[in-house]
Amino acid sequence: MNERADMVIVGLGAAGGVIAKEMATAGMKVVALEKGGRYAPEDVEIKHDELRYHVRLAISPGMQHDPMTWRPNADTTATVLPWAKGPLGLGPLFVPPSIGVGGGSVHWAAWAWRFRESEFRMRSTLVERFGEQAVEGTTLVDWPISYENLEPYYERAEYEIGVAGQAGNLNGEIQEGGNPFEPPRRRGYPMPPLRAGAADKVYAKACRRLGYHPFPAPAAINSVEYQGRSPCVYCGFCRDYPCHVQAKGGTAVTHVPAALATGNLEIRPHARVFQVKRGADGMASGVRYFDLVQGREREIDANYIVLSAYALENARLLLVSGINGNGQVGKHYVTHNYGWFTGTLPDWSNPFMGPAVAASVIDDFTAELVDPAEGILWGSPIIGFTGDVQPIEAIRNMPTSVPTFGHEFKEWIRQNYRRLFSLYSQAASFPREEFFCDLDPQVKDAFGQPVLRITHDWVGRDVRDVEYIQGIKRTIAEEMKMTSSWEAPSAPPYHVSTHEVGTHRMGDDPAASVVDRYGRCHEVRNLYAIGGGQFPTYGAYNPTLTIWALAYLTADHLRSELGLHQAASST
Amino acid sequence: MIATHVLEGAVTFLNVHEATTLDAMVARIIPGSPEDPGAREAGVLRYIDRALEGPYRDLRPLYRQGLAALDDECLAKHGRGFAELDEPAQDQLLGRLAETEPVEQLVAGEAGEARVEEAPRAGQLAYFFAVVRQHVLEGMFGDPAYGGNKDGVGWRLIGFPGARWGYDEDEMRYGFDAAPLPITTLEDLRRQRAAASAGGESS
Repeated sequence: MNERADMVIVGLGAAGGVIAKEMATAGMKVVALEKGGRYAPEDVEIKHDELRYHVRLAISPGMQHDPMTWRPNADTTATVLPWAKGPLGLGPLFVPPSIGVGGGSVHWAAWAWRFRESEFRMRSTLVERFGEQAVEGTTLVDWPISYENLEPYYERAEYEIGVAGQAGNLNGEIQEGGNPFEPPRRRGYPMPPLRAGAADKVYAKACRRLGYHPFPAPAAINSVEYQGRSPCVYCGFCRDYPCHVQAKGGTAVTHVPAALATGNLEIRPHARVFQVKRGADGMASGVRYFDLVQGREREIDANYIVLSAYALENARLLLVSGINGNGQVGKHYVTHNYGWFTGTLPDWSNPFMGPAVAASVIDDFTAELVDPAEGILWGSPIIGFTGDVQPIEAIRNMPTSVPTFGHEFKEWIRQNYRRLFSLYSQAASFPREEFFCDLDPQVKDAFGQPVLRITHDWVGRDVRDVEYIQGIKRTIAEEMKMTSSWEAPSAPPYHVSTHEVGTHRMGDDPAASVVDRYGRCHEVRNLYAIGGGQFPTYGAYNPTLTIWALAYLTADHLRSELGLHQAASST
Repeated sequence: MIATHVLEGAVTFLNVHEATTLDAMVARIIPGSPEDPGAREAGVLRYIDRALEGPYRDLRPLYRQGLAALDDECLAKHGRGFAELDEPAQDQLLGRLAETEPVEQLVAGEAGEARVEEAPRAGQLAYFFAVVRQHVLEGMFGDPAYGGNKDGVGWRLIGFPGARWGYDEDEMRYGFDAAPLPITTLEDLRRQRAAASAGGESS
């Protein structure tokens, strides 16, 4: 007889960590199977190493062990992510998020956004603003839940993870210094904003002179000591790196320790799940996995199974397990286009100090806030990027107008590395029938398992919307008196950005979605697939806080389903 | 015969001729002198040679064949290998490669099974150059623990203080000149941490 748990969680990352804590606290016996490792604080104490974490992807799934394939359209043969593998790869932003306990909330840069009200009703918003033709060719829908439904869960996530920021809209009242465009919140942030990076004043002032409304980005990094965790020390090795003082919020330092403290959570690292098993009744009975520590295949049975292994891996697991009765798994694939814009400033900006997130943002051109006369379907925040810029990445990203080698190259990096400042934006692609994920018919991973194939390309509207935002950045750059600037292509070479979502869409209609609003699979009622894969559509902000909010919603539902009591909240 | 630069130290993967050729390339990518060190002075050759023994094993065929192809090109045009060309001729050749669209030749496979596919020669060489350039950046600006960036000369060049526990408010002012800050490495952090634990402190 197989061993058995009340619940098996596949992937102990952002979403899985919340479920582990909530269910273990409510008394369930939970086993978490995690593909990556488990790190003790002393393992990451000296992590200030760009080669290890950024170049050689120490905690990110590299394409050699975790390959994925990509093709621009269904008429071409997919190849292993050509921009993410090999010696000229683009770095950890262009493979899936970090793995290991904490998942993507280890490597993440900690932008902790609430989505706007309009992003929960993206189709309706577009039709209202531009007519039906704006959504033609897309599979855009409205979410089954609204911002108001999720608001209490956002608040819970902000307080349990710890978010530093300045409220802009408290119960409908606009707050000085915050984001005047933010959706109303019932409660301010638990911590004041981080100390901003050196160039941020220049950026924020330029924005104000132009009539825009800069505000500090909400950051899940402690600006002061919070719940026993240290404040940020501004080391500048944050995005792509584990935090050496546990100031960066993430389930590895918040929810997982709380879950372990109950005695009800067992973590099995280096466990690669390859199948959800189903019983004769069609229900999920357990999972099969490769135990890389013991070097053998194992099984574990459970009453409830939660897939929280990232949007892409969740879709792959559903597909390899044959759970796709309505053909919706892998459809509605959406990712972000960052619109990188970099320039040099007249004085030292020291982009290697402090975290990237310690900077201002403007929402003046985000989502539905762009003047409709511009014809831009969905705008984007313009986000300052003041820190976390280590030398190798910076120099790889230098302007193509400068020679790539020789004396001139050397002089350029000598003069300019310490003057860099970047702006980025986030334009989500629209879901379309022709862009999706499925199993690659040929390519297998090192364990003989079929890999996920992504079919995606940037289409006219994606490129147009990014172009427009780049134009605003040029205006800001001029106002900042940048001495030079350069831009990534508006149709970038990557199609994975660590922000993949939509691959197991949630909805009320079992024929048109994979999971319900609680992440429960329509097809297999004791199976949950949670995380960004649930998002029916995607807008302009980083996904993680919303992933957490949805995970709390799932946890509430599971508790009521099981008749368990709500865990005492630490807020 | 033109005298070529005499290699410092020993190589463990590349043979001496390959190492001499690669070192000559490296020295043109970030040129230097004892007073103003470049990639050669930083020990980038050592970084690459060591990486090819470990994490970049799959790239051995690319390096072996790339270095041979580069020499072939030079022999055909100038009757001498790359390392024996004068600097302007070396720069001219690398400049051409830098302007050519790279054609990837390495097909990722199991370690040791990497193979080189047929591709236009100029594109292949351009790809090889692009890889070497990337590895020069790694060896110049990665931590000295990896064999390059000797004495932090890469970091000193660009004014980056290296591996640091953190920065304070004054250092994070716009216009703060970080160049005079002492350079610290992973090894320094380990020593500091060990000293702090021995002293019963923590930071």
